[in-house]
Amino acid sequence: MAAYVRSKVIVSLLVLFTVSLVGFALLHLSGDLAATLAGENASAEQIAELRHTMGLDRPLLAQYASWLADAARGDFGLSFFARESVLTMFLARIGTTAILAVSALILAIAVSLPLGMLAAVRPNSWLDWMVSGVALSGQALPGFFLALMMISFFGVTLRWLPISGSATPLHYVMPVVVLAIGAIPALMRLTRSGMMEVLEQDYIRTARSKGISSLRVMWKHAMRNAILPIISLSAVQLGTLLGGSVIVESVFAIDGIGLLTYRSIQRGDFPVVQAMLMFVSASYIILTLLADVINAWLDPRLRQKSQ
Amino acid sequence: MTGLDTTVTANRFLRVRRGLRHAGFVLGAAVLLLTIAVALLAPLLAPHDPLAQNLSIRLLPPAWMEGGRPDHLLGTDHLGRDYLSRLIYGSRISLIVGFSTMLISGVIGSTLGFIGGYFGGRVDSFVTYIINCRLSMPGLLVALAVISLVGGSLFTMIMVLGLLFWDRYAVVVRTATQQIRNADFVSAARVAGASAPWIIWNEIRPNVLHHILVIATLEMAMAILSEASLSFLGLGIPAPTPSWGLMIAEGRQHLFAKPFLVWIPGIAIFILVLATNLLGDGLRDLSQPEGRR
Repeated sequence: MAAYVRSKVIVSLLVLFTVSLVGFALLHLSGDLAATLAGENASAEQIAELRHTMGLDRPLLAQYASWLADAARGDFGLSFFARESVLTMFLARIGTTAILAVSALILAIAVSLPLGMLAAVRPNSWLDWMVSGVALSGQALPGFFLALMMISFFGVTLRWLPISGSATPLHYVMPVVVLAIGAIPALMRLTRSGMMEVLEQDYIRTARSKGISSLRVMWKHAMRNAILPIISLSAVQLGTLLGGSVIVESVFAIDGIGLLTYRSIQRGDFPVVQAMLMFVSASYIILTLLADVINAWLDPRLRQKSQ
Repeated sequence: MTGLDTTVTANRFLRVRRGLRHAGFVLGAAVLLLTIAVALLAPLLAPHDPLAQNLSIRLLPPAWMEGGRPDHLLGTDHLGRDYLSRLIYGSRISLIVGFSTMLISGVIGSTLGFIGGYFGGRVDSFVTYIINCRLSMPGLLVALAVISLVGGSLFTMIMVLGLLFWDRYAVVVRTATQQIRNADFVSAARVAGASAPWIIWNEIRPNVLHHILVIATLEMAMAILSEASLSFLGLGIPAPTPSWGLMIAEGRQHLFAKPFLVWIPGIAIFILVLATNLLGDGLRDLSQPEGRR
């Protein structure tokens, strides 16, 4: 197990390093940051001066090396606009976004797991069809459209929920539901198909033939195997939710890291954007690593396969 | 119930399910073809110029609502442009982005998948590594950042989405290739002295093509949604080009007074993406005898 974890950690670190390099290069090569920053009316000399003071005229690898050295010490530089440390700006907003993303994931799992399992036990029942229908429609609904519809219905017509900001827990209801609906289709489909596969296995038939009740078979025998891919997908979804918070936070005007990133992208505040890219990538990598380790712990066969 | 009864019932259920899936496939294909026809015939079908402004008739409601006019069936937007015409022309953007992205990402992802799956070993480890790196990067965020720097246009959008969203092709093609790379007909070709590219193209590709087609439809749906989201955020197709996502962004200012400005393009996106997904699900079930997943 220790060897398994160690090799996984090494690969994860390599991936993180590569992703940070690619992200850095993409942001620097896609356009002229200095020109974006200086604005449309700036003269060529002003742009050149800005490029020099920002250190943007140095070779790309040199810029990356100094960024990486700083980042390794937890220093992500200063925002071009707020003249504040990127880390401070992040820490002030990460809580809001974390509440959003984690609540959405919990809600999505709470809906998907039981519905997906029931659908697997009774294929072709009305419930199974409902599950398929919900999954299909959920996949086709753009998050921002759903958000606007909810604002117009629950916020304006019914006046049940506040439509922007994050002052009270009520403010979180609509954004969390919108994010959760984005994550439900994949989770529900995977639960259903995974469960159906497991229920066909011989050991489930054996357990059934011993007279163990259906519910007990589900929880004690089938769940343990069906849960593995769901853990992995949940980890992936949490990463996606952090990225998806850009849209939801901007529609609901919630001051989390998603909205901060959106504003920073609009005004070319490169250090903030780079830090956000790194943050989402790192969360994704750490979460999938955790999921791998949990899976290997639950299923010893996985440990041997990769050695 | 005896064993025989159970099988018969199960078979009937499976038939019902496959039949409905089939219906979904036909429905999806029909809607998609209809949208393609609308996009191609846009100049003939659109009653007005989608860019022509007329401030004296701005924010007209659809024809069936009070104050609506029959010559503007779906009403007009904040600049008095005919909403039906904008909707019709908007289908072009969605379809062009959907198809082009699907092709570009399909070529990149399938190539990586074939290489990793066929050669295995170190080569496969490297391909897996590249896939892992791509999956670790938040696609929509990278697209937003890059498009804002390069400048939004149809071409940039297609290139950025195409170069980003190839991961599902790579994962699926790699697995499918692994499963048949040691099949008899592949070994036979290898013994006969065929080169690896030849074997991949002539022996393996035809056998994983149905997987690629399924991913292609799902990827097209994803590209259409991504284009809409990016345009909605103001970092995609630049105004005044009619894009459904951009129409929602513009209609958003009038969400409370004129909700139809958001509803109409939103439903259009929903229907097109739903149809594409139905087509993909149908393809998958029809090419898989068990009819599941």
